[in-house]
Formats: sequence, C-alpha cells, structure tokens
Amino acid sequence: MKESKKSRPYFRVKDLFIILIVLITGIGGFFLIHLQSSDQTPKNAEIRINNKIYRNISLSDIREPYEITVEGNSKVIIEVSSEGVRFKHSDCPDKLCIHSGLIVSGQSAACLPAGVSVKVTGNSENAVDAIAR
Amino acid sequence: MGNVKINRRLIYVARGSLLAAVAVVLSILESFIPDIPFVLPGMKLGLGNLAVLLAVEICPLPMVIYIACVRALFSLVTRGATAFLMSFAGAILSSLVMYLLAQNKSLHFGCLGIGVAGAFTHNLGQLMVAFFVVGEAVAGYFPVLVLFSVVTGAITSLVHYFTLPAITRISIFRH
Repeated sequence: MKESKKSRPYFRVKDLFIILIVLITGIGGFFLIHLQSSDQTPKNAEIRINNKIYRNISLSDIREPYEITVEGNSKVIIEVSSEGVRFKHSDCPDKLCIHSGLIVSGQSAACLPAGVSVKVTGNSENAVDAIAR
Repeated sequence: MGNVKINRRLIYVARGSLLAAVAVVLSILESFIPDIPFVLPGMKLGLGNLAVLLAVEICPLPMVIYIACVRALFSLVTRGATAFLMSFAGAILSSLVMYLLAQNKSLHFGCLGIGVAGAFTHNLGQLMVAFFVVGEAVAGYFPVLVLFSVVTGAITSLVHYFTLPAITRISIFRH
C-alpha cells in the first residue's frame, strides 16, 4: 500500500523538544542531588530494607571500619567507616551497588534485588534535628 | 464486511503476540551482552523497547498494553517480584507515551523522539517504583539513567527506523 511513502523519518525538528526535556530533567536532577553533597564530613548512615529503616549508624564515632551483614531479599555486606559507607558484597547478579563505590555525605546507593538502600547525610542537613534535640 | 472486520482483529492479535515474543527474545539476548566498560552495570540498552517501538506503529493500544504485560510477566518469572513491579510500571508508562507520540498520524515526531521518550519514561517508571519499594536512596541514579536514556533511545530508534520498512513487507505486518 502507500505505507512506504509515509513511513516515519528518523528525525523531526519536534524531536529536539523531547530530547531537550529529557536533558533538562537529567541535568536538573544532577544538580539537585549534588548540591546537597558538599565537602561536609559524613555523619549519619541510614540503612533501609524495602524502604523500612533498618539501622541508623553514627559515622563520626567510628574508629575502625567494620562490616555489617544485612539480610534483605538477599544477603548484602556493607562496610562502614568514618569516611562513608560502601557495599562490599552482594548476592545479587548485577552488583550495581558495589560499583557505586564509597558513598559519602549527601550521596546514596541501593541494591535493588536485595531491597537494601543506604543514605549518608552530613553535618548541616540535620540542623533541624540538632536544634530539636 | 463482517468477515473483514474479524480478520482485522485477528491480524492485530497476531501482530501483538509476535511482537510480544520478539520483546521477550530481545530481553533474553540483551542479558547476554556483557556490561559495557565505563558504564554502570544495570544500564540496559532497552532492546525490549524496540518491539514496542514497532508495535505502536502497527498495533492498536490494547495490543501495545498486552506486550507491556507480557514483558512484565517475563521479568516476574526470571527476576522476581521487585523486578516485576519495576518492569510493569516502566513498560506501561513508556508504552502509553510512545503510543501517544506515534499515533499522531501527521507524523509530528521522528523515530528518534519517540525512542528517546520511550527510553526515558521506561527508566522513569522503574525508578518511581524503586523509590517506593526500595527507598529514596535510588534517586541518586536518576540523573545518570536519564542522560543515558538519550543514548539508548537514539540507538534503539535507529534500529527501529531501519527495521520497520522491512517488517511491513511481511504480510501480516502490512497495513
């Protein structure tokens, strides 16, 4: 039929709008997340399993790095130190969490198959809590 | 006339089923691709989206949704409940967006725009589920995944652009 004549072109000018929207969302998100992470010393690590808080660890008191084993949907080993937190081992296949490396103040990482996530916060972000205390 | 109408619906069912099978096979093939260096593992090319890109051109909306459901069920069987929820949200959201962009018969958008929008909304849907199921920590992956979706969208839409004319030469895929 006439199909071949009105087949879709690879590029239309309007595609630029779509790409622009996606790029702006991505770059905007990048700045939103990385604005929070300044060079503050990491203070607190919050470990969640399936979005429920599992442990809150105060990082500033840690002298020697140690490992904790978290039993989420699968086993994850997390190393906690005064510098931050890192995923050391995971039973999941993709190991995305381990490639996140050291998680410092303002950053976060997660192992989706295990349902385990870690969020590290720094000094100023807990200012409200500090006052409340 | 009645006969013609029934045949039309049968053709749509056949198309949808074939493309759903294509989507599943493409995701299996994709899992064989080793992780690209310099790129975080877990970032997928989104080859499954390729089948949906073809589907939105030649199938009605129910069959497009059907393909999304098959993809989600496949990830339930192979990767578990969390993956199912994420895949379902991503597939449904991206299918709807791609359908809306593609069904505009005046061809406002090219393959590139639809592919990028599909890859972006697929990641968005998955991250939204991960945000609620796993925790807010996954928000950290958002910018990287979003920027990456421009690259994967461009690649899949390029394949789409070259395969659609070939596929519509097969009789049941002809309009």
